Amino acid sequence: MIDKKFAMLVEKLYNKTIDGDIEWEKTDIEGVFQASFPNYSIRLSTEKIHYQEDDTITEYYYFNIYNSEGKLIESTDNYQLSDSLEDSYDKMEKMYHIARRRSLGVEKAIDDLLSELDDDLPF
Amino acid sequence: MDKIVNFLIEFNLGILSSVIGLLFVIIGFFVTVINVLRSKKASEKAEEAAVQVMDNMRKFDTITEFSSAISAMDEIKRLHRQKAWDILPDRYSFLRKSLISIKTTNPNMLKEYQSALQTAITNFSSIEDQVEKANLQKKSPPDIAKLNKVVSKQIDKLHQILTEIKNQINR
Repeated sequence: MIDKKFAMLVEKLYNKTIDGDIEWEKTDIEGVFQASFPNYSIRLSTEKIHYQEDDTITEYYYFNIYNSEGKLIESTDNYQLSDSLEDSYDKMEKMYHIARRRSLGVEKAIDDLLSELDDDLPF
Repeated sequence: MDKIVNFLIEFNLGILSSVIGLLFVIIGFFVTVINVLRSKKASEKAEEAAVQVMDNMRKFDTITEFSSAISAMDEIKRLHRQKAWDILPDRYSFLRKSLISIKTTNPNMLKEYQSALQTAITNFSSIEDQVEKANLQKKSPPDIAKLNKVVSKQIDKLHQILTEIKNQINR
């Protein structure tokens, strides 16, 4: 069971990601994005799992913490957080996609393109 | 001799000489205090200069460590291209330990630099795990172009930090 402190950590990181205060980067693994602090790194990833019993597909968002030696020390997902963090799935999903967009430079690309299009307008 | 004494007594030169003597003592006192203050300032300046020299020496050591780490990363890129998967895990591990050592021996390093080192440490740890697993399970190794792209990014970042530290010494 994930304690409330961990849920608080995820919530804070989510809020700072929304505010644009976290520098997310691509990693060596496709679809995994990372933010580093002086002594720890956090990686976000996602996985779709197909449950054959009822033929459903569920998407999970993972939150992993790595220590100063780069070793995984803790891992959770939106499902484990659901009791401690309100709207855990929505928050983790949004945080992941913002991290992805920022890492891949999508937002900057859109801003640059918008700027180009504004310059071309005659008015 | 009596004439000299009488002369001194008549014109109160005894008292006058005492007053003059007292003035010299007071002036001498202030001169001593000023000299002590000047020498204190000089020793403080000498201490400051010594601290600056030691700080620069530490920065030189850090520059050497960063340069070694960047060279190790360049070598890793070459080994990726050569598909030297058997020896790469040891190289990743050695590099990771070097980066950890840089962080540990420079606790007052800017947080931004520490975070950049942490990014590199985590990335190389992850790459090491991937390659180790592929070697053990005899599966195809990770994509070389993708790995080298990640390594190149770490090189660029460390190079930027190296330049900034060098500029701090030159100021």
